[in-house]
Amino acid sequence: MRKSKLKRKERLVSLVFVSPLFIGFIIFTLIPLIVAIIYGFIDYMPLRGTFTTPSFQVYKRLFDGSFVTTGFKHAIFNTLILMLSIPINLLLGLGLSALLTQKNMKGRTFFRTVLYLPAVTGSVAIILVWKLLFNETHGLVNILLKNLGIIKENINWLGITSGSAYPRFVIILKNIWGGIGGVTILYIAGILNIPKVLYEAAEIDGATKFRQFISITIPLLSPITFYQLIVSVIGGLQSFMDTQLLSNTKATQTIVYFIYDNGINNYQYGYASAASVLFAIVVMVVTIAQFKISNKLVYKE
Amino acid sequence: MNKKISIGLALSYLLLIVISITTIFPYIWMVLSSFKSGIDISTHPKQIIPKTINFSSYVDAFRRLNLWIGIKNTLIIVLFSTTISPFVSALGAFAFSKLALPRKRLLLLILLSSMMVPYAALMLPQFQIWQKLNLVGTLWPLIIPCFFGSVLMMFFFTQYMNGVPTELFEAATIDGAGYFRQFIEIMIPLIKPALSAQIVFSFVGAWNDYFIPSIYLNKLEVRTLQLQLLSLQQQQNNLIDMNIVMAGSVISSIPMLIVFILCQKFFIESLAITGIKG
Repeated sequence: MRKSKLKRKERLVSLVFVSPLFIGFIIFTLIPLIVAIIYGFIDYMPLRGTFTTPSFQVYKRLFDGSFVTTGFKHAIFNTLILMLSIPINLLLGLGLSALLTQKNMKGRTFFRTVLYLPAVTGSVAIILVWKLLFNETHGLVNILLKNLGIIKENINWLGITSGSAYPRFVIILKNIWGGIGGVTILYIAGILNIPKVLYEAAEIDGATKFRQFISITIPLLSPITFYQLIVSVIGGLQSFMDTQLLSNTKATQTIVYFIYDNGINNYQYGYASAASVLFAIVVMVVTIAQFKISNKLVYKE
Repeated sequence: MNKKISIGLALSYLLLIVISITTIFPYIWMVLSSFKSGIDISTHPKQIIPKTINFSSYVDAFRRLNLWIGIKNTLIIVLFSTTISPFVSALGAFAFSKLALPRKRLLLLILLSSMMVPYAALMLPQFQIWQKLNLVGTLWPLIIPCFFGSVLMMFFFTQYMNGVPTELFEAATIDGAGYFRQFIEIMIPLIKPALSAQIVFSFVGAWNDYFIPSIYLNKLEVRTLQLQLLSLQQQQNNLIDMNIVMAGSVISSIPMLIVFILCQKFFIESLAITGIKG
């Protein structure tokens, strides 16, 4: 009798303890998500207070523009292009981790720390220095390239007059610079986890270091590679700050910036919400896929 | 054979040193530029080392950028996100890990599913909520959510608490200790490492955050440090004040550098652990 009363009290208390998280979930996730879905169907315009009868009209309108100029398709295209930094980072990170796990390598901790620095300190300050370095007339990059005779005219790196190729290049470069540390650290941890016996056996069989790397290290690191790929894709899909701050042009607009620009700046709630719902579906699908596949990979081991 | 290895090693070192310098270079350039005069930055861009060390840009940064206001606002947000939010999250985690919460798995799944939804999809309706409450242009949209905790943090704490023996709490219950007291007196001291790691992450996150503040903090009095750095940079298109902007950048980076150097084990270990567990 007393025991069941105690149990009831414990249930009640535990519900109270989780209640802030659930109230937060309902107010800040569930309701906004439902509202966003509704807005997308009724083309809600908050300034005029107008909305239409529910239809897929807004969704159709999203895909009107072209891939090259402006609009949602262009934003998708840009987001994907900027993700070029992901495979480059994975390759470079793999190479660096191989260097850093060599037998007689000293100073691994030092290099690891230095490489990871941008990931922690990186924010507005970093973007501002990059803007200074790539400034058209006074930036160090143009001055160096000119002095070395590589270019004759200053390059408009951050765009306005130069279209989207140069700003894209600078953003990708910055993301490689900022992301390589994290990738390398994960690969180092992965390599150090591989049983030494495997390499010793390969050594006896006369396999070269390079051969060992290709046939032992890379395959055994594949779960880590996959994990990093998905996490970077989820992060890359949501990139916003670089295009908003680093480049001077909307030619590099990403999906999130597109939603922000149309919603917060231009009050096109229906239009922006429709885009955000499609975007959320893609992100959720990628996340679920990651969850499913990484579970499988863990069981395999 | 031996010689071949040492040449390889030497080349590796060379490569790593070059890459390290490239990584650090923007920071060095930030510091060097902050000591130059604004005119030197725009008229003598080739000058690498400043002619005279000029501290005036730091004074100007505080005066003209109103950095104090920015630092104050950032610290207010940091305060709430490093205290209330971890506390609420840990309390929820305690219920998930150690108490007889009904329908535990389902409830956890519901909360975890919210982590998949990207912020961009919630941004506009959330903005409307704060607009209706007339709180856009105040710090509240960044403070109030702290009182509802963070699902990600709760999940980390739950994992960590699962490693704490349940018997401790059963014994305490028999002794008549209330659940909240058990949480405060037994659980909190036991999860200190996880708690401090999460507090450090929250600090870095809140300090560096730019996206959400840029939506809500549209007035000078409420701008955070990061927003203030940008505002000056956006006001002038020329580079005359770039030294001041760089001085502000140095100031905003220093706390993060200190935290990183002191806590790099946290950062690197937690990163490595998440990756290996997959």
